[in-house]
Amino acid sequence: MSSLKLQDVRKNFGTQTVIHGIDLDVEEGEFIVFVGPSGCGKSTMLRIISGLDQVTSGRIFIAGNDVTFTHPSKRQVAMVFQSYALFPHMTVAQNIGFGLRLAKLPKAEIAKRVFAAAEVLQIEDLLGRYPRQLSGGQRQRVAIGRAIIRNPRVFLFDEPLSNLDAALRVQMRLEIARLHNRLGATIVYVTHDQTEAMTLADRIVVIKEGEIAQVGNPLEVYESPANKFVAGFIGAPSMNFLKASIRAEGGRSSIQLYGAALAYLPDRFAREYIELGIRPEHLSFSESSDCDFWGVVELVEELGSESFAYLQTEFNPEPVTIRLEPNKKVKAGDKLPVSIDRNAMHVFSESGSTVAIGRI
Amino acid sequence: MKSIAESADISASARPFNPWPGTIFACLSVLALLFLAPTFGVLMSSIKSKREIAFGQLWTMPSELFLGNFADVLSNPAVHQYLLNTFLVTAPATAASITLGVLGGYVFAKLPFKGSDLLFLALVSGMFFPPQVILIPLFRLFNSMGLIDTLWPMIIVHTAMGIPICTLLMRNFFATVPNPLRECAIIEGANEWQILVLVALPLSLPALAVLATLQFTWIWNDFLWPLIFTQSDDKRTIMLGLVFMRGQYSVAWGIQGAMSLIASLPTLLVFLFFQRYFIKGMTMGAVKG
Ligand SMILES: Nc1ncnc2c1ncn2[C@@H]1O[C@H](COP(=O)(O)OP(=O)(O)O)[C@@H](O)[C@H]1O
Ligand SMILES: [Mg+2]
Repeated sequence: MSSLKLQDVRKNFGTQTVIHGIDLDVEEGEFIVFVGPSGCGKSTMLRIISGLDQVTSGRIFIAGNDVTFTHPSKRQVAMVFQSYALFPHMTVAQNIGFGLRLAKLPKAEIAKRVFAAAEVLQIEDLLGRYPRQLSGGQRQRVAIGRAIIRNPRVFLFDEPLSNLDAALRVQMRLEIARLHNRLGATIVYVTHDQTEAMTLADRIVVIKEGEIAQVGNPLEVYESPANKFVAGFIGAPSMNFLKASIRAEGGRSSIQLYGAALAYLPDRFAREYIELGIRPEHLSFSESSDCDFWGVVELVEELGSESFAYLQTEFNPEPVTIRLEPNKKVKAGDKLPVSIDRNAMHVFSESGSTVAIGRI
Repeated sequence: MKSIAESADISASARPFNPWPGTIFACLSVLALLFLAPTFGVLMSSIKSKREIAFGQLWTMPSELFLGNFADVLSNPAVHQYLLNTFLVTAPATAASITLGVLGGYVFAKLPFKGSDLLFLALVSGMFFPPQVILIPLFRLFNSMGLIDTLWPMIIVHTAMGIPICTLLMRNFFATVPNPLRECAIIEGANEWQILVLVALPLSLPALAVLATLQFTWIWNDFLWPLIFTQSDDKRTIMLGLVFMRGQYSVAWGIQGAMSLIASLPTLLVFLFFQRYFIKGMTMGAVKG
């Protein structure tokens, strides 16, 4: 039985359609990440699942029950807000126990469960403090504690790490992953950060303008993007997109990059222009001048574990990103021959949908 | 280069004399003195005997501290009645107007509906209505209800007149309570009433303190409505009493001074009680940005 099921969910705000029909089945215990650029409707999706907003049409099922018109408090969901939404006038213990207090549980029971939740998150020592006396990471933990104490069927996280600094973000990311392993809870997690999505998700749901662009596990989404949008959004630095043309030759078509035939397409290809997608790690500098194109190094980015170079080419207005092999030293101004890994090319039609991937 | 060096030199060494801070300070000091002078006069006359007032001037220091005026006022049963009446009007009207302001403000801030902004504007524009405009209609209304010469008209009118400012202040305050707090509470199972009582109000204590002080002072010191709605001496409020005392004692400056001070004591106490919240409330917007 699926834990959460969305059936053709649509949402309008006035005349503006924000969610254009989303279908999704989330398994019990699955960690689902909604990822997409700002304003694509991720928060709206969470608010619809939580019941804070109503669908315009479509249905929502949680644990097999239709909750489309159920009050948020009766849906057995818990939400962690981007701003944490801690009650400033309540102590950590009161914040975590707020829901139980509303449910009129006995005080002793509340205290016991608050402590248990605090132990999971290692914030037992902070129970008497007020939110203003906590650091960002601690606030985040309290917000999570308030969510886990009620044993909800589905956890909803709305960009929970975006207010933290980079180091803390990595740490909290790990902790959320651990928490998920430990609780085995169903989690719907929203972020605009593809790294978070890749590291946390069992399955990623890439959203573009209120529509699902692709659903799949992180590797699928990375290696076989369904379209140019997903290809460009997932992965950092992003995939290079190169304009290329198709030339019919006899019975087959060749992909022409700046006048040179790169590869042949099996069937006659009824298009004139395509876009090639190549990830930075699938480009390399050739030893000889036998190459696919030449590029002039504009900038080198040394990240320690890996380095990238940005190349100016004659055929692409955007710089082309290339990952440098270890120990490869280049400097700005070098003009170098570049070859493309034929096994890892993505071919997109002009409309952006994927035409072919890999050996072509 | 040269000109830059020169101008730097000028500003560093011979800073021109700026007369403004001193001038403004002097002006403000004079204004403050003028403002305090009447209070000082009242205070002085309240601790002088009738004889001394009759002989000397109002403004001089008394030759000896005379507390007879206060004793007179405090032992006067009419004054007790005035104070009691004023309290019986001020306390319920303050409480009622703030309660209504809280309820209205919460709805306008957090539960807007179609046309609520317009309604809010209409409500707030009530603040700019001069009371004189509705004086006669109100008198006739309460007269036909048989409420003239009771405390009810004052309670009702002050409650009603307080609604605009209370709603305005509370709405603006509730608007600063972040929406996710409310939404989180909803998911946790709180109904709207619980959100108001458990979340919004505890966060709004500064606003409540400001309102309590403003309303209490305003209603306590009101002179107009008691004048219109009361006739007999035992329904008068303290501010009316103050004026009517004059008639009784002709030129009893000392008694009047003492009574004025006693009459303003409760508002002073309320202010002192809420004062730290009051300051917090005034600067809160600045801090929160
Ligand atoms: N209450 C609302 N009224 C009108 N438009 C809204 C409302 N909430 C969100 N939107 C619009 O819906 C779109 C998606 O918003 P949101 O779900 O917050 O995006 P995301 O969380 O992916 O950044 C945005 O264009 C936003 O302007
Ligand atoms: Mg969002």
